[in-house]
Parts: sequence; structure tokens; C-alpha cells
Amino acid sequence: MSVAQTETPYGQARIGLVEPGPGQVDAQVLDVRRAGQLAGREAESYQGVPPVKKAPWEWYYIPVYFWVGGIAAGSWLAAAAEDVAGANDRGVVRAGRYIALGGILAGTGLLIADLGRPERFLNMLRIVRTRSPMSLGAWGLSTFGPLTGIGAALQLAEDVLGRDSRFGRLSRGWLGRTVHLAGLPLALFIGGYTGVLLAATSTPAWAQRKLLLGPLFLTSGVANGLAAVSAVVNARDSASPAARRRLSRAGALALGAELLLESADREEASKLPSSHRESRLVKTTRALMVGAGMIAPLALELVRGIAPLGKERRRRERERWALRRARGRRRRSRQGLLAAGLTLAGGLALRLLTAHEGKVSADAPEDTWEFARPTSGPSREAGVGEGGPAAPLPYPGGRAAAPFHPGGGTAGETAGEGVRGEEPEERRAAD
Amino acid sequence: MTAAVDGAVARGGEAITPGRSYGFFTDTTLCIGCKACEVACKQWNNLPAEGFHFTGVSYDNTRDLSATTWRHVLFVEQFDESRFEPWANLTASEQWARPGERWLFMSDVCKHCVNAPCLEACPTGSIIRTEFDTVLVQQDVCNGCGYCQAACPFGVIEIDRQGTGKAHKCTLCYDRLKDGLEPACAKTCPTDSIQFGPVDELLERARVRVAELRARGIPAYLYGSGGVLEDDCDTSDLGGLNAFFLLIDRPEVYNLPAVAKRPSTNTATGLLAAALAGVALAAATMLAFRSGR
Repeated sequence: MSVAQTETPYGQARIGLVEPGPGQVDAQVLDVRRAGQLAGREAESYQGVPPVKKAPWEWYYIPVYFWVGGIAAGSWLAAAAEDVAGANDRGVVRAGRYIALGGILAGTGLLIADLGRPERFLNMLRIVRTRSPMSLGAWGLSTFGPLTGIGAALQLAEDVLGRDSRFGRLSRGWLGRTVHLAGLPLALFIGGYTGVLLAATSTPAWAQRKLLLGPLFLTSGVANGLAAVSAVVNARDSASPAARRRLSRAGALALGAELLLESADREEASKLPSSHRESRLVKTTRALMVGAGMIAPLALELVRGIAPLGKERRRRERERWALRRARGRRRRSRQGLLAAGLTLAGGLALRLLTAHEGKVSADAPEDTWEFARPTSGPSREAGVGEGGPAAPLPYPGGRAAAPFHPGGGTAGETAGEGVRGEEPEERRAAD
Repeated sequence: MTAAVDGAVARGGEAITPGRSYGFFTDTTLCIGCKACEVACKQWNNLPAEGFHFTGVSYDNTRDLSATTWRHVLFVEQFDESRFEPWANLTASEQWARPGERWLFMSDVCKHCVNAPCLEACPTGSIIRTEFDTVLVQQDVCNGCGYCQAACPFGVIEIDRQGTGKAHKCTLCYDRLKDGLEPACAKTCPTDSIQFGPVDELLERARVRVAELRARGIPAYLYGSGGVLEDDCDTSDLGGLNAFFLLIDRPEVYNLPAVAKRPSTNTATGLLAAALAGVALAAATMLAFRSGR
């Protein structure tokens, strides 16, 4: 009559009598179940086989798509904000529009390349399914994509035909602004839905962070998009110093929000066991991501957002820039490029790390057990196991009929479930 | 009824009629681990072997459901440490009598959830609910995006990346049901551990069986009945499973989550959170651009 917990080569196994003699059943059954419960649900799995399957996506396709999609979203926001709220600096708007189109094209290509049957990518547009972020995302891409195309076409007309041509005026005027504003909600959706797409799965590390992944990816995408625009205008010297300061300020805001969300996200992610045994490589990458990919560019962009101080200095800076442009010269800003490059690298690292965490977590049975841990009900409380009171026998329906019921104590608690057990039709009736 | 359905009749002389909910009741206490269901499934559905890999820790060398294995019999081997001692080191009684040790078998399969996460995740509409209330992947529509694989809370559906590039799983022998035949695994099961039928009838049968086992002191309960005699588990999020199980140990032992969650519930909350963040972010960006004008 022994109940034992034992370590086997493939994990822990519980030992208990299957069919004890008459009269001994109660205590035995109770002991068997409690032995397992007290050992904790993390302890066992079926030979370590992952209970859920990880997403079959290649790291160089989907996480990179998340990244370029975020960049497209953020650069569109940069163009729209410069147009609507800024001074409509053409350098910023041009970069924003072209990068948005490039990001969407690259992202769509990556997405299609990762399909098991790429030639069937249009099947995504057979239906709209609001419960599926994948379906919503396909529709988001196929509406935002053409808009970025229109934006880029306007920009191309402006660049080729001249800023004061008919199309150039439209591009800088009401039509450009209308396109920007129409695309803005879609851009934000493209930036954020990717996090929700991960959250709406059965991968514990992703589903656990259901409220955070969307905002985190969106914020990071915006920071990355602003950084991409900033990289271009700083490399080509194509935007006014004031416009670059605006970019830096907005970038600093986004990076700050990203930093806050990332720390909240770590907190949530650390509730799963697999997050506590990460490899040194992952830990180092994450430290670099936060330090070099968020904090460092945040500091740089903060400085760049307010420097130089003083009206006189800013005027001189502007004049120098105008002079350079008039002479057809360009001065690359190394500092601006550094800040942008660090932000972009941090954004890519965030996607790669999140994808990696998902793979590790899906492969770790203990993560699924923790994620799928029962939170209520009489037999549940004892299951969490801090050596509390004896677990009530979890046989609501059959207890009265069975000869081994414990007689008293917990009958009241399970009476409600007992009633449910009498009605097998109930579940179907609800359909 | 068509001639085909008239000719072939389900168990108990009852025809398989579209419009009713059909499923499996897998009574794990009757399973003898013969794996005939695995073989029958492979044969009927023309599924390839997955190679001869030996796990080295178990007699179960299939290990897992996959794109090309739609039935899988788990061998849960609950043995004392002494099992791994050299035979000669054991006492005579240890050599022969091991009262605490047991093998639990369970023929695992797609659960055909009522609120199927794979179906809800599928962006192409390839995964559908059939007239038999089963969940089916339409192979001519699936484009292999793989989202269903990440969505399934039981690790059932899988993309065949080496082969067709599409998602595959148990069809509950849709082609056989169409012709009034019960699924191949249920047909072949020599102990009736796998029972096929209308879900309501199966549930009734399962209830009787649970009561019977409990009367004998065996801690039986149902997994996937959507609330009926579900003791250590909860599948109500999924609305129950059309293929449900009778288990005698905790769900984790059979590699099943105690609480099966419905991933698509995260879509609305996640999008809402992202929308709030998006509005705040857009407003903050606009302000930042305005301030620096």
C-alpha cells in the first residue's frame, strides 16, 4: 500500500495501487492523487514530449517580417506626423513614404516565402475572421500595402516632376495629407497586430503576455520606423535640423515607452519556468537589447531632440544646413546614424528573442502546465500544493453511487458539480 | 438516405447521419497498447511511416501526433526505481511482484474541439466544421501558414514541411463517414477502447463507465466532456471536445493540459490593448512633432 514519488530516467513517475482492496479505496485514492498534486504539476509530462507544438516559422522570415512591418508602420507615422503636426519637411516625408512601401513589400515577401504553399498566398483573402489575427493581418497588409503604394507614387511624382508641378503640389497638399491620415490607423494596426498574433496562440510564453505583446511590438515598431527615417535623413542630410529634432523627440518618447513595456513584459514572462533557465547567449542578447538597443539610443535621442540649445545656435545650424544644400553638399551625422542603428538593432533583437522564447516555451512541458494551471474549484486549490489541507476527493458525480465516498467534510463543496454530473446533455444544449 | 449510407451502417445498426455530432470516446482503461489504431489510421489514410527511430526510454517509439501520425498510443510507464536496477540486484519478491507499478495506455487523437482553436486561427477558411460536427482541413485550400499549429492547445495539427507543406490532422475519417462507415481506428480497435458514435450517446456511455470504474475504486474521470465528470481538468473554454477521453490519472500524465484554453480569446483583448497604445503613441508623436516646429 505504498505511494511513492520517484525519479525515473524520463522524469518523475507516481507509484500507487490501481485497484486496492475493498474498504481501502478512499485513503488510497486520495493519497495517490495528493502525492501527485503535492509534487507539483510541473514535475511530469509524457516522456518530456512537448504537449503543444511550436509555430513552424523560420526565424529569418517571420520575426524579420515583424520587424520590417513595424518599421513600415513607424515610418508611415513619421511621414504623417511631419505632414500633419510638423512643418511638412520633404526629407522626412519622402523617407517615411518610401520606407513604408519598402517595408511592406519586403514584409509581404517574407510572409509569402514562409508559407508552406507560397503559391496559395491569395487564399488568405477568401475570408475575414475577426478571431484570427493572422486573417486580420492579411487584410491589414492588403489595405495598408496599396496605400503605401499611393504614398510612394505621390512622392515619386513629386520627386520626378518637381515639387511645384501639379502632382508635386497634390503630394505636398491635401491629397498627400489625406493618404497619410487614411493610412495611419492601418499603419498602427500593422505595427501592433503582430504581437497579438503571437499572443493568440497556445505557446505559453506568448499567450502569457497577451496584453503586453501587442503594445510592445507596436511601440518598438514606431521607434524603429522613426529610427529608419532618421537614419535616412541623417545619412543623406536631407531634412532640416528642426525636423531631425522632431524625429529625435518622438523617437525618445517611443523608446521610453518601449523600455517601460519591455520591463513589464519581462515581469510577466518570468512567471513561466522556462524563462528562468535561459542560455547565456539569450541573456547577453537581451541585456544588449535593453542597454544598447533601448537605453543608449534613448539617451542619444533625448540629447539630439533638444540640442543645440538657444535660438541663435539653432538659427546658425539651420543656415549652415541651407548653405550645404544650396551647394549640393551633404554632411552625414554619425551620431544620428548611431542612435538610429542601435534602435533598429534593438528592435530586431526584440523580435528574434520573442520568437525564440516561444520556441523554447512550447518545447517545455512545465511551461504549458504552469500556463494551463487550474485556478478554481475544490480539487484545484489543493493541486497547487503548498502542503495545505487534504484535497477533497475530486469525484463529484460518481461519489454518491460509489461505495468509497469519504463521508462528510467536503460533500457540500462539490454538491454543485454533482448536479452538473447528472446532466450530460447540458453541454450540447448550449451549442 | 443514399444507397451508400444504407449499405454501410455504423455500430449498433445506426446509420451515420449528417447533422448529428459525431466523435470518439476513448476509454483508456480498455487500451492494451497494441497500436492497431495507429496502423489502421496510417493504412486507411495512406500516411507514410516516420522512419524507425528508437526513443530508448520507452516502448513507444511514435512519441507524438504529427502531420503524418493522426492516432498515437501513449505508453505511460509508471515504474519503481527498482525497475532500472539490474535484475540480479533485486530480491525475489521485487523481481516478480510490483504492486505499485503500471502501464497506462491512451490512444491520442485530434480532439475535434467544439470551439476549435485551429479553425478559429485559420486565415484561409481551409479548416471547417463538417456536417458530422468534426473539424476538417480542406487540403485544396490550406496554404501552410502554420498558425493553426501554434494555436492548437493539444499539439495535434502540424504542417508537413517536408512533404505537402500543408496542415494535416485526423479527419475523423470524413471519407468513411460519408459512406456510412465508422473511422478506421474505431473499427479496428480490438478492445473497444476507441468508441465511435454520436457524442451525446458516447457521453451517456462514458458516464456509466466512469460510475462503474469508481465503484471498483478506480479514480476515473472524463477529459473533454465539457464539464461532465471532469474532475481534474476543464475544457469548457473550448466548449468540450467531440473526441473525449476517460482517464485515471491527472491530465498532465497523459500530456494533456489541465485547463485547455482558447487562444482566440486573446485576440480581442490584445487588439484592444494595442489600440490604446496606438492612440497614445500617435498622439504623443504628433505632440512631439508639434512642439519642435
